[in-house]
Amino acid sequence: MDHNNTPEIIYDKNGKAYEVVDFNNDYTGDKLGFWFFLFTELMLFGAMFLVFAFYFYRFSADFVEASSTLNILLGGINTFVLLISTYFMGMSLLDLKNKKISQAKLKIYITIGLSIIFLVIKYFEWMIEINHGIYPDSSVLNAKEHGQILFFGLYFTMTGLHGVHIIVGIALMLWVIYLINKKTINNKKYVVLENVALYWDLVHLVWVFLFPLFYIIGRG
Amino acid sequence: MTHDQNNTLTKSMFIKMFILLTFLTILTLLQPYIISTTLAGVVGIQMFISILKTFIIGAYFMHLKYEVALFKYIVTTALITLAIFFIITAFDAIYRNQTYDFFY
Amino acid sequence: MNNKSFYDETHTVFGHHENKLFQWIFSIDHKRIAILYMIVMFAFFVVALLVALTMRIELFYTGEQIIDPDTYNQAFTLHGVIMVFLFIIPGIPAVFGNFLLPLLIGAKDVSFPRLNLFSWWLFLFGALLAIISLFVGEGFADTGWTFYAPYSVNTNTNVILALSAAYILGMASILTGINFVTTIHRLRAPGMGFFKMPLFVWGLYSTAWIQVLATPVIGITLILVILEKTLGIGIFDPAKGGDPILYEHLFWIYSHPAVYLMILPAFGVVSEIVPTFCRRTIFGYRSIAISSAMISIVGYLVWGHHLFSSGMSEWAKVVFSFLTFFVAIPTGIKFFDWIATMYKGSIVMKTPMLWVVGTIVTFAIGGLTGIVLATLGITTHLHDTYYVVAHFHYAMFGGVVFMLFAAMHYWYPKFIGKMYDETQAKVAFWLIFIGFNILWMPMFIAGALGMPRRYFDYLPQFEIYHQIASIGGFITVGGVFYMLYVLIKAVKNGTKCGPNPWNATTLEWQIDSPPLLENFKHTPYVDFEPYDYKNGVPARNLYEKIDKGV
Repeated sequence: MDHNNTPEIIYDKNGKAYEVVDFNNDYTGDKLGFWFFLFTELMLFGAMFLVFAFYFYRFSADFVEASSTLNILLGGINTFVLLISTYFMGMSLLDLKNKKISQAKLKIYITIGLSIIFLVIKYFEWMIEINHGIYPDSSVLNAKEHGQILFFGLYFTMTGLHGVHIIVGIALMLWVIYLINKKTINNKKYVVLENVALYWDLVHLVWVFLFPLFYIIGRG
Repeated sequence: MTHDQNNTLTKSMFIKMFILLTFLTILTLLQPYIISTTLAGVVGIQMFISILKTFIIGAYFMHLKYEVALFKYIVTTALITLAIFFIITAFDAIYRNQTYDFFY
Repeated sequence: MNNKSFYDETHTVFGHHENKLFQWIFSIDHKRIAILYMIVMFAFFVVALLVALTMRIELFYTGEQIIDPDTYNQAFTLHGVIMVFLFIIPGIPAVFGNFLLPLLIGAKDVSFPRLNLFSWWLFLFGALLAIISLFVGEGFADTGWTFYAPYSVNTNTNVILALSAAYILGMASILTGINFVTTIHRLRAPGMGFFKMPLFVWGLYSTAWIQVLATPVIGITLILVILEKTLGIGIFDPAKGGDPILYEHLFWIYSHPAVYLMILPAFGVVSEIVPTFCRRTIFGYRSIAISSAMISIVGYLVWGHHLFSSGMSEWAKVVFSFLTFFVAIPTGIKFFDWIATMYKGSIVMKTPMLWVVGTIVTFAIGGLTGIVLATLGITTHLHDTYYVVAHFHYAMFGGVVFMLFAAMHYWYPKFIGKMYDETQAKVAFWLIFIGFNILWMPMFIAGALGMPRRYFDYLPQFEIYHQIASIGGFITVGGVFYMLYVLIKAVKNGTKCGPNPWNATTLEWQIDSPPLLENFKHTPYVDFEPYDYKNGVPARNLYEKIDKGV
């Protein structure tokens, strides 16, 4: 096995040279593998949206009614917070490719900061519901219409699942900072940062669908 | 092995797409107040905006526009699979409680 | 040929280890990981067989014999969970995919070797959780391996532990799928286009796609049941507006593609064995390759045939019935291609070929009875009867597992560098094949006559079928134990064999048995078809070229 990075070259019948891909040094392969992982996330949230669509179709009026009680100001702020965080994440990759290491790190820290703001706002949103007695299996919630019970059940589940992914994202970003400091990630080898940025874009994409379906339908 | 992407995402393109996304997000928030329509209409317009955003995020932020064709094929495959689940389940959701929906 | 094999040296995570055990369980060599999977999987296979025998003893007479009704429910759940999640789904990809994929495409390992090891550790962890759930609280889940809501939500047995185990096993499966797809895209030897890959690789490729796209759906479904049990969100609870049929949709959106996940690598194995033992190239290479992809795709569309009696709409039933008939076509194509390869071929009836011929018989029965079940007019009568049980055992056991046994007997010499006793292996085959048919054939009849599945007790008119089946069960399991004995004995007492004991053409037979740590000293350039025979012998021998680089 080649531990020094000289690639293996082999020749065909006509003497043409081919480089054998070394899995220890395969930028495209690393990106490809991560994209396949992103599909699993897509299917995970996709199945949840399927459940949402099913019950939304069945209990449209209840869903609209429940949606109108959510705090659209907080939800809207969070939407912009997340959008801006993906801007900084993408920019940090561009900075790193251009050897602006400290600027890249700063932008990752800003992304982390914005993510924490997102989580804090989410916490306040949840507390609003919980303080009204609305949480899974509460007596207040169970007394409501079926569609409303399901709406709030899906609300906590899906925003909760999304929140877990944000927490994981923060951990990943801290790990990327650690790797940048160790110089394992640099302007030549940056696939790990690129993949974390892709992950973050997916987390944002989920919210792009989640927000209108939970918050906007009640405003029409 | 270094990669070569000649037409790669530039800083100015990235910022332009970000501004476009911001505009679309503002539209998302304002839509119920500036276009009044039925629930189906609201959902339709909102999902349309979300899909637009998906294309922009996917192509630019997630770099798909600049990747080799293979990446675009596999993303399309995943999305089609998901769409199929939705379409077939819809058959059950829509027709569930009708007794004779196929053989009259 | 005095090279060191992968048994003598390895690469590990967490630094260098002196301890031999650590050199195995921390190894990132795909060949060692394959063997680690093999050991754990077969251990669980034996456990599940014993659970099955317990059930068959219980069912020998009407009334209660050795276990009570609640324990019986736990028994068939345990049997199903182990067989499906711990044996068949990992099955051929985990053992033969891991060992052979890099060899078949001329690579030195998979794309992500450490992720590969992590998959095995996840597998082990999931298995442990399942074992723990046997011994704590109210004991193992009693819901059936399908965990249908609302019973799974309301029962007090260890459903949460079982679901968590299944979730973790699903993660292991996903990571392996990601690994295999990337490996196949990136690490094929130069010159090997997609239509020069061996058909087993096509099978693994189609399987990996299913692993990546379908497994997350069951992941989230199991999480939803856990949330339902712990928080009461109401998604499957009719009292809160929830829909149990939606659970069935979500469960089977994964679990039906899962059976294709089981069979596609198995079909790939058959496609490897048939040309070797007919001494000629396979008939219809392209059609077999494309049919693998087609089965993978159409397999996503048929999950509703598990919901025919659930109360879903007639429109949905018609759509699913049609698609289920349709998915049989690519499978049929493969069968006809294999038989066409055998026609007027010079067949060598060694043990792997014997298993292939056997499985062609049993899987055909399994597949055809599936078509019967897909017919809307009949299906309600046969739903949840022993007919269904016989159908899926003919397909999963007589199909996937028989093909796994075929793979064992074909590639075992490559794994250990020694040949097992051919006569004894054939005896084991006949014991299993005959016992298998005695076990399952009566169940078709019993099911059509009305014997329900998952029932602890039954009416006296069914007793004769149960007794015949139970005798068949003991013969089958006896045969399996004998087969395992023959294989294990070969480790010490087998006759040494060279790189290519079967005179096959694919790349794994052009290197040492067992292989070196890095597989290929020199990567070959592949500009030839995978099953290139000239007058009954392989068209080329690449051993020297790979070993010396000449």
